[in-house]
Amino acid sequence: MIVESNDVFVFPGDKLFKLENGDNIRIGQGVVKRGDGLVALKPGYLHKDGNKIWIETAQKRYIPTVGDLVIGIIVDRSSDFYQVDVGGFSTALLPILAFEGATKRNRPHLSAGSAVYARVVSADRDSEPQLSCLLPGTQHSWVTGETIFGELSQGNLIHCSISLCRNILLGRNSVFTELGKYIPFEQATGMNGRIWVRSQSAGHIVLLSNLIICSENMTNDQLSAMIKSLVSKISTQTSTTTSV
Amino acid sequence: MRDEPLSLLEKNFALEALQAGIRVDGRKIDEARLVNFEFGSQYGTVTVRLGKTKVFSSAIAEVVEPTIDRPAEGFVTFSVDLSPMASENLMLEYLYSGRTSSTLEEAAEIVRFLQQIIRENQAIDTETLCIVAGVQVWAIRVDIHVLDHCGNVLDACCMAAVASLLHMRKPVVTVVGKDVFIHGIDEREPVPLTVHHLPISVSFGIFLDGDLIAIDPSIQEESVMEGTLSIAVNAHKEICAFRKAGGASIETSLIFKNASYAYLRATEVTVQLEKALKDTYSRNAVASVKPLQVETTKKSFPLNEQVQGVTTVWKQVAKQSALEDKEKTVDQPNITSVTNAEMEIFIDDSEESYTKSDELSASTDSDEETAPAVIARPRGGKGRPKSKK
Repeated sequence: MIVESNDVFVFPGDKLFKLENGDNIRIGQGVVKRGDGLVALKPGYLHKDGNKIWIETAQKRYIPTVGDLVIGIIVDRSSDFYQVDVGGFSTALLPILAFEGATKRNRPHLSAGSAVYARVVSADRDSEPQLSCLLPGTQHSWVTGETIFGELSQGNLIHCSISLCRNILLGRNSVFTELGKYIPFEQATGMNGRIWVRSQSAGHIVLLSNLIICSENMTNDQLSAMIKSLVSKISTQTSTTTSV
Repeated sequence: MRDEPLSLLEKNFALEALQAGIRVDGRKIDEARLVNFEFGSQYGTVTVRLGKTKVFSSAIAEVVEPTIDRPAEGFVTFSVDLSPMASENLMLEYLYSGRTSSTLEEAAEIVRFLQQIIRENQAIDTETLCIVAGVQVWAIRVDIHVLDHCGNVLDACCMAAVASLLHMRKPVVTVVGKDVFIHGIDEREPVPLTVHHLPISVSFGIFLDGDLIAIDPSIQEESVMEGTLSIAVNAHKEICAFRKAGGASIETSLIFKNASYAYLRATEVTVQLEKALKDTYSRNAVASVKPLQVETTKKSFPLNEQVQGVTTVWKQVAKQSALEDKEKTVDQPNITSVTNAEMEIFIDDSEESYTKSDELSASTDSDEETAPAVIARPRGGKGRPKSKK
């Protein structure tokens, strides 16, 4: 079976493409090159975007991939690296100097349990994945707290499914745009099934956290209706509690 | 659900939210999570869900020898298995401490609390678990498996144990002369246990040096709490057990306040448990007890009239033993009275067995007078009494 259209369900072993000389294709999760063709490794929906090709599955375990933005939790530290749990097969390594503007004397000191937003810079099969909080081209130092990557402080961390994170990042799930109409908040979505949210009050964060988890099994229309009704209720409640 | 290590963010936020009067999962401070009882197709199996916490329990009956000091009492034992599958934090504890499930402190504490609320409170009548005093008694074993550890496992385990004991049936036993017959499920409908009352455990988390107490803590809250307060209450407003772990100090007035909260919660859970049990019986015809069409008078009448639905083999054995014991006329009323007591338990409607507990215990008390006659001729270690399928 040769599959060549978008959004078709493939099984492991299905032949996807026959590669021709000069083809420039980036293969993602669940696709592997066998001989002169591409073969599916997982059951799931085949996606194609430009020259990128990947398979989406309802997989629970995160597999680190270069370029992914992830939220990790510091597990341990050594003299050169932080050991970070990203939910993968092993802990990832984050060099202690891999922060914007960090020097040996002036660098962030993270303790076990801290959460960091980072990107995966290397993910080989036989070694621990490497993370980095550096973003080439930025002028901000980690000290200012204006960097995109780095330690996440305050707010709440939500553990959810990887497919929910992917849908949010690809813009299929409109939970954040809908919520943004009513509540000001900050968020960071990691590809490893973790979302960080921070808002003005604990009540708002609780609302955001629960709505994000709820959004997984809802259509965007249902979501906007639910958010509208809930926000009106909560805003009246929180305003009364804060005044008391 | 794969449980991941908690970050400091989550721990701090759990406290921050509690201080703001709200819980991380959107509950109020005095609001417990939803409970769901799901009875299995086998007697005594139940899955209890407390929010995302999931616990499976099964109760089985075995025939064992009683202890010498209590020859007429059966046993109720508990085992709790906190498998590393239930949570990653548990798995790490297994890895680093090299412990096994049975030596885990948390599991041992739950078992101890279960013994306290069920065994020491006489929630189950152990005297009705006696088959032949000094020779054979029923041992009820309740095995609890924690499938998902998402906070407040103690309460979930206690609810599961109580629900399992309530749903469980033991086979009907007939004692004829020296022989004990255990009837199979297809032959005689098994009988429920005598449950006197339903102790329901309600746990509270103690936060911020005892300034804040929240009912039914979730796993995120458990990571920041300083201690727990568990109160087991039954529907009669009796406190069956009290446990305060973790070392945090709280005011005495708060304990009384929480005891009344616990009572409200316990009645709520009891109603739900009763409803779930009723639903199972109405849905599943196999799990219902068909009342036998016999009179419940204390008058002793010939064995073959009294017992219905017994196979011909049983009847033959009964005749033989009757012939053998013809001369020993003294023994005859004893045998029938033992079966009489069983008939009463058997006929009793299972769904209301615990409400009728007083009547039941009264009837068993009266039988005790005749019990010594049975003790008078134990079979000893040799020659195990026959058991029939």
